Amino acid sequence: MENHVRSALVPLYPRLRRFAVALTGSSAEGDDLVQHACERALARTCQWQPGTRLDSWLYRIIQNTWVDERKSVRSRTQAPIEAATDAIGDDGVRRAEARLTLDNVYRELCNLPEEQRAVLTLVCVDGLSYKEVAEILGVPVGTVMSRVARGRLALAERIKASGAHSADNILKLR
Amino acid sequence: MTVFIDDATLAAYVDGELDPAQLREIDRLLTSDPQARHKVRRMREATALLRSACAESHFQEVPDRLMTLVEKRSTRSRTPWRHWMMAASVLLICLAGGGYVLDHQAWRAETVTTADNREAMLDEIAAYHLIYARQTEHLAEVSAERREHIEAWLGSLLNRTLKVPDLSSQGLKFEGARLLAIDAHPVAQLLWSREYGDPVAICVTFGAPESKPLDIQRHRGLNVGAWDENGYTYVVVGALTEDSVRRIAAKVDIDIGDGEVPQHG
Repeated sequence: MENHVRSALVPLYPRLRRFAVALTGSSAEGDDLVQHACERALARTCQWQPGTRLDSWLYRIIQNTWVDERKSVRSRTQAPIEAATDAIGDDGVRRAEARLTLDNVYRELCNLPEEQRAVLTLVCVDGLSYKEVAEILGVPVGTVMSRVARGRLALAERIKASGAHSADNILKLR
Repeated sequence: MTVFIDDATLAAYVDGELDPAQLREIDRLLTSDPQARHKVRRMREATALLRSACAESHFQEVPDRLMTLVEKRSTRSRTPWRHWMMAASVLLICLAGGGYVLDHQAWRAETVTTADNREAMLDEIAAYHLIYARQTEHLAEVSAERREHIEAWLGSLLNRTLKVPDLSSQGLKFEGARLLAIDAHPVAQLLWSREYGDPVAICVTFGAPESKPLDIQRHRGLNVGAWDENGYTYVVVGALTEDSVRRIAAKVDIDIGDGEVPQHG
């Protein structure tokens, strides 16, 4: 079982990191969180049930690790939200309007409350069901439902307010 | 009378969380509620933008500290690579003249050696690896049981004798091979599984006539080690630390030997 988990960590890493960055709102903190969560996952691989989704199990560990870390550092100030270009690996040269817009979208996501960032990433980007997300985050399905709705509309508002272009333009450019 | 549809229900509608009866009901209500339709459109647009902005490719750079963590168990019993270099009793890939010589010179003639194309090839090998490495039940196209066939098949495509190495001493188990076609050139991919960690592959294809030392680069979040020797390009790819790549590469390099030019035709 440990082999399976160990083997899956690298292929799953981009998704784990994406979720961790969404939770923390910071690329550097997200990286640390994934690392700590992976260490924790490998120390308790026997807790993963074969036949269940490994990614969901790892997401849950990331969520729990994040909760624990926040508890242990009560005085932690909100990490500054870095520019989206830093977080998503842009080379610093904004080459296209599409890239600008996507940077903007990412930045606006980071500016949403943590609980909305988490559900939007898991539901809208990862495509997990509300039930799966509720289990990962340890909240009722109804809470996921309302957070997804509020978060998505808030994001749409922020994108509009910050001058982002329509999804149509982006999809054409990508 | 217009029935108010709350935002949470609209979100569930967009996310496919409603059952068929609820779905039909919302479809019906939306026809007479332009404000709700507008919200649905905004939610869908936001989702599309979010998916693009948060594509996996933006987060794929795997740090060495995670690689080290993944490999931790398997590295405990490893011997430094210089020791393996001295213990060259097991061949990884042996080049020799003759054998399986078919008329595939056209591929060699067209082999592109520019830096850009080399980079593109390495990137594509890494991309392939990310896909194949997840296919644990169908890792290889031709399974390890057909080792002799693999050696004959891929060797003939590359105008050389190709011997599948025994990497069991490295904790690797040969799983088989597949043929990749990158930029219309044949690339022999030999695959090994590990007790701990993702599969590892060695790729062999026609390369530049001049030799190039091992260079390790990051592609798609993986360490990819490549070098050129005697007209062939060798690539080590996997979720490996740089040290692991160097160990494997050093062994291959020793086994190939100096100035061992394969005979073609």
